Amino acid sequence: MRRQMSEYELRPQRGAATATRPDTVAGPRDLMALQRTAGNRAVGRLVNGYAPTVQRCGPDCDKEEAAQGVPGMEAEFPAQGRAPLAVQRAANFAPGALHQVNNLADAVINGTPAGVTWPMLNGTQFWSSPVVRGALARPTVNTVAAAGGGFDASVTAVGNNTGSWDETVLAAGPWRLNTTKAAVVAAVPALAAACGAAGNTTFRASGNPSDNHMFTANRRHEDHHATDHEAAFNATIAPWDAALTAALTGRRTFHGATQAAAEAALWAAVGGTPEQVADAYFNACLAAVVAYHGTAAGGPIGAPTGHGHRDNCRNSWARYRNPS
Amino acid sequence: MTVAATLDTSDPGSGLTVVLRLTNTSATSVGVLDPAFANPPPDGPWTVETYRVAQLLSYGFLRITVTDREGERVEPSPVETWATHVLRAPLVLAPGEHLDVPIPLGAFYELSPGASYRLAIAYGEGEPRVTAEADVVVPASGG
Repeated sequence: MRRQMSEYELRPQRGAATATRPDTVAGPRDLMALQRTAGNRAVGRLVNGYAPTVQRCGPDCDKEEAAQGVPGMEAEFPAQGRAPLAVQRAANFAPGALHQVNNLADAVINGTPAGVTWPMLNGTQFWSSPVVRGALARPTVNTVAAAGGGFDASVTAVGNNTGSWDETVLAAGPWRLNTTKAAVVAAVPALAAACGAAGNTTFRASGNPSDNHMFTANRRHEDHHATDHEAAFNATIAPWDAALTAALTGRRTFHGATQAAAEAALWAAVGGTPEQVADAYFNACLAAVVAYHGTAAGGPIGAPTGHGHRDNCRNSWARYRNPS
Repeated sequence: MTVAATLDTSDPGSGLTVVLRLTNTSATSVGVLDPAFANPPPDGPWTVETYRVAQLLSYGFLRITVTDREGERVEPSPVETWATHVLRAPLVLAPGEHLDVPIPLGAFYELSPGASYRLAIAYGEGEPRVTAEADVVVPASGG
C-alpha cells in the first residue's frame, strides 16, 4: 500500500510545544501553532522574552495547606500566609498526524473507511467515555481532617493532559483494486450482468466530478472533524485544567463536613470530577461529529453515480461523489 | 408504506441484540439503505454489528429511543467509529423479501438486568423512515 505523508507531520508531545516545518523563520502561523500546543501564556511569554519555568508544590506543602481550612465553611478559601505557587503549565491541544493512505476502491469493495479522524487524549485514541476516563491524567487531591472539625480538600498536583487527533484520508487518485468480479458486483449491483462470471477484475473508483474533488473533499471532511475535536478539548479539558491549576497555585482549600463533601466542593469548584470531564470531552467530540454528519456537506460519500466495464469486465469502474 | 419494519426482541442474548426486520410488503421491488457499507478494522474494538450500528447512528440513518417503565428516556452510552465510509447502492428487496439488521443494544445502552424497556427505532436514508416499536426485557443475568 502506498503511504504518502503530508507536507509536515506534527505529533503530540506531552508538555512540549514542538512543531517542525521546513520553514526557518517563525511567522504568525508558527505562533498560532505554538499557541495551539502550548497555550496563550506560553506564547505570551515567548513574545515578551520570558523563559517559561515550572514549579511544583513540594511534598510537604499539602500538609501545610491542610491546616489552613476554615471550619464550618463550604466555600473555597486561599490559604493564609504563603504566596501563590507559580505553576506555569496548561493542558494543550497538539496538532496530530495526517496519513494520506486510503484507497477509495478498497473503501468501496471492502467497506474500509475513506477517512477516519480519531480524537486523542495523551496519545490514546478513544471511541467511548470509558477509554477517555482511562487516558485522563488526573490531579492529586489531598483531603485531611480540619482542626476545627470537618475536612479540607486541596489540589496538590495537576496532571498534564494533551489532546490531539489522528487523521487518515485518501491518498491521491486514481484508486484501483484488483479483486474478484463477485466482490465488485456485491458493491455495485448494477454491474451484475456484465461482471457476473467468475474471475478477477481491476476495479477503479473515480471521483465525481473528478478524483481531485474527491481527494480534497475527503480531506476537508476529516479536517472538519479534527477542528471539532480541538474545540471539544478546549471546551472541556482545558478549562478544567485551568481551574485545577488555579486551585493549586492559589493554595485553595475546600471545606466540607465530611471527606466526601470536601472533595465534592473541590470538584464542583473546578468544573467536575475527572470522570465528568472525561465524559464531557467524549460527548463534545461525539456531538460535533453527529452534527456535522447531519448536514448536507457532512454526509458520507454517496452510492455510485455511474458505472462501466470493458474487455469482458476485465476492467470495471464506478463513480462516487463526496458532498463535502 | 411499501416496507414494513418489525423488531424481534425475543432473544436479546448476551449482547442485548434485537433484530430490525425490513420486509417489502408491496408487489414491486423496493430499495432500502444497505447497512453493509461499513466494516470495522480487524484490530478495532468493535464487532461488525456494533460498528455498523455506530455508523448508522452517526449519520442519522438509524435512530434509537429507549424508555423505561416510567416513560423516562434512557440516555445512551455511545460508541463512535469516527470513520467516513462509502454508501452502497440501495439494497433491492423483491416482493416479500426482507432484510435483517441486528442491533446490539448492550453496546450502546446500560440497561438493568431483569428490567423491561420500550424500544423505538427509525431506519433509512432520508424521509420517510421506516419505524418499529417493541418491548425488550433484559435477561435477569444481565445479558
